[in-house]
Amino acid sequence: MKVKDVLLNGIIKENPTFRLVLGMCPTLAVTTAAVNGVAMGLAVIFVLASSNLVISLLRNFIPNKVRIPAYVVIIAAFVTIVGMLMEAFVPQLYKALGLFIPLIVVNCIILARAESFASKYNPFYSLIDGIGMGIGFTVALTILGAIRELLGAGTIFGVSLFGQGFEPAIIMILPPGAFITLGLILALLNKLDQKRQQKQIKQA
Amino acid sequence: MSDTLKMGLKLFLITVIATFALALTQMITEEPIKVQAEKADNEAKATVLEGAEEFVQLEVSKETYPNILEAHKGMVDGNTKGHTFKTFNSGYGGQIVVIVGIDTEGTITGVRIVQQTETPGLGAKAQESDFYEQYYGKPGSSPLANDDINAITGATVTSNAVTGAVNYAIDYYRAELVSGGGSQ
Repeated sequence: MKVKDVLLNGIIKENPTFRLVLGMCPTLAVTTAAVNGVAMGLAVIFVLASSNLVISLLRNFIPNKVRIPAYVVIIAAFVTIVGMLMEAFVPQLYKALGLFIPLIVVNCIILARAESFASKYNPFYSLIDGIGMGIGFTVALTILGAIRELLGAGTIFGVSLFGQGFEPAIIMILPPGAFITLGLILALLNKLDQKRQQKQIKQA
Repeated sequence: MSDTLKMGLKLFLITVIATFALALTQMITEEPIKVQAEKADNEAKATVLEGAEEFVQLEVSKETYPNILEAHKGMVDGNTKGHTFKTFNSGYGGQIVVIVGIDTEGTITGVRIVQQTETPGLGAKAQESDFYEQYYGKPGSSPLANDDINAITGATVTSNAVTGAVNYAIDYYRAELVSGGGSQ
């Protein structure tokens, strides 16, 4: 297993948002602006990498039959501690990410990676997997946020692109806009995937 | 049986360690978090009532004014410059806490949203100067109507909630500081 493959797996092949369709709740809720996507993504990279590392270190200690409650306890405690430390010692960062930290507890990507990767592989690979998955999540959320922000508010990262004449479609930054955008992106990616597969079959 | 017991004990051990780690973090962070919150509050007070250097807390009856969290008299060189009020109101996504400054002439000198959980991209825009600067210079002699302020597009509930929170401060100002004149 190559480090590069583990890292890229999370970003492209098994992108948590576009391929695994995991963690939909925060994905749909926070992507009203590109900057929110980046912030949520950064918080997830940090928590996912750390929780993968801890779970992997404990993988031989945690009994198989009670692994899910054990993971939930570890992840929830971890996220809470990170949130508290951030609020106390880096208040500027907390102001930007604080809203997203509690959302991570309910993010099933963390649990999914603990279950399907960290519990089976060594701490180093688990850490890399966490970082890769986190980056994949960040990229996906930023793309979603950028599209919704552009159509719903006429800006990207707060910078106005169309000037005063543009009438933003408010629906795009409301919940329906999240579903519409995600649905179209998924359809597009599936179409591309299908085409690629057909090509492979023809060549073979 | 012994397997089940072992499993239970291991899970118990994990929860015990997690609890201790949380308790420890709570102990370490409690004080800094309080200091941070106070600092943020003081900065907000200083921005809504510019020029005031010292803030003296006023006693506010919780029964008469349930929506006022704190009230301060802003002083500079022993003279009263005005008052700041920390009030809250229900927004769209939870409580909105604002700090309002009213000077001795009864003019609103500043409004800041210090705590909110409104929708990002919609109601959360209340934190932008385009919105809250509309309150600057409005007279505190009568409650503001929702029409006095241009609501944020798509977030009328949030906009009205902020106006409501500002009105709680105006209510107190009119009742206690103008007619009564007690602490003026």
